[in-house]
Amino acid sequence: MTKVDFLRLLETTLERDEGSLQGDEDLEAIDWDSLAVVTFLAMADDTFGVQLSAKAINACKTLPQLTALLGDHIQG
Amino acid sequence: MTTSKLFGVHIRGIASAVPEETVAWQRQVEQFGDDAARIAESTGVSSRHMAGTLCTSDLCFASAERLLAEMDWDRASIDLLVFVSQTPDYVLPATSCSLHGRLGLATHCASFDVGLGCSGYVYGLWLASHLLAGGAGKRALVLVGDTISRIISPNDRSVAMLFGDAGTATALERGDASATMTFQMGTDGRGAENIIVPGGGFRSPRGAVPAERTEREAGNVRSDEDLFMDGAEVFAFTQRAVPALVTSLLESAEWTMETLDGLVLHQANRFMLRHLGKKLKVPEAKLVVTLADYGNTSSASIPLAITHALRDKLTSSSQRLVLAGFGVGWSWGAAAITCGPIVAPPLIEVPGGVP
Repeated sequence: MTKVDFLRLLETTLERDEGSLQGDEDLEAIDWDSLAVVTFLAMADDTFGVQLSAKAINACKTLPQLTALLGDHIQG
Repeated sequence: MTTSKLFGVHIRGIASAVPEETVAWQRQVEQFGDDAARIAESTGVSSRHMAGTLCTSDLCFASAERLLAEMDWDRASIDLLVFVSQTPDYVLPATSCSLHGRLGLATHCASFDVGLGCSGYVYGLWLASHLLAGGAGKRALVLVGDTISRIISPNDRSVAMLFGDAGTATALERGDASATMTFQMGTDGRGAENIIVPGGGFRSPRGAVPAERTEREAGNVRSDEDLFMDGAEVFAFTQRAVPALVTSLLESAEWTMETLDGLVLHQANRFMLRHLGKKLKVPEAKLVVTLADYGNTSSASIPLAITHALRDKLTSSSQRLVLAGFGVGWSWGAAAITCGPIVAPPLIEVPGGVP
């Protein structure tokens, strides 16, 4: 999946307006909370078949760090 | 995983009781603002039954009394009582012993407590069924429930809107060989810290740690004697463990998603149940989801869901059910059972105070 498509998917997942994520945000700036973590865990599993650990997600401070957890599944 | 198959032990009846008092999700708007609606939407919990001063044993007692009356069982014919809960009456004696007295059971009846939560119902069935199949008795009562609302901080958003209270009774009997039960049980104690009440036991006795509630992670407020739950860790655990558990159980039972009649998972929260249902590719009509009026009732959630959603079918026909409990511990258990027709009274509501 391209990075742009991933951002659109993330916006849908987090119920944000389309185009509201640039990809370089701090998580704190996008109201990242425990419900968002759980939603992200489910999305990664549904879309990429990747089962992330909660610890790995909780260690992320920025959107690029979060995106990096999905490795080669996100291109560009 | 521990797998076992047994024949000849039948579920004869299931009854469930909840406290009369309810609380709707809107009650938490004052504490959590807009997050209250987000949480209610995600968890699927609209209202919950709250124990107040009722104990789990009071709810189990009401369930057992009703069930025994409707089944017309002689109390002296009961050989085994298992009480499964994380919210017992006392440090000691075992609540099973006081329930034995309140129910007027005979002195030959063996009674003991099991301290499990989300997996507790399946563990109770597994234990009692194996004991009966092994010849330890002919009839058993498995009393399962929790009053988790009594160990919740109202200002901890990770748990405050999720848990309700309930107590249940299940009657088991050794009979003809037609009934089959297949079980898979397991544990991963590395997850123990993720759902825990750290204070009030013997590791950290009451009085040894400050009992006042203080601000913790993400602005949540609680004491060490309140329930802590790391929801993200719980979710990650379930998506890792539960699909594999159910798939493996179906193989052991030689069943498929097509041949089973209903999948009753521990009613943890709606978001999780839908995710697990999707991963397991279970038809929506077969996935039991009953959180809206009760919340997560811990060990009681599976029998309560059965009373709520499957009562009509189970009182009139035989059903092939998969039950799966998973969570606190980490502990899990799943059962494939052929069950029914059984005695299943309507949901019982218990008024506040000790009955």
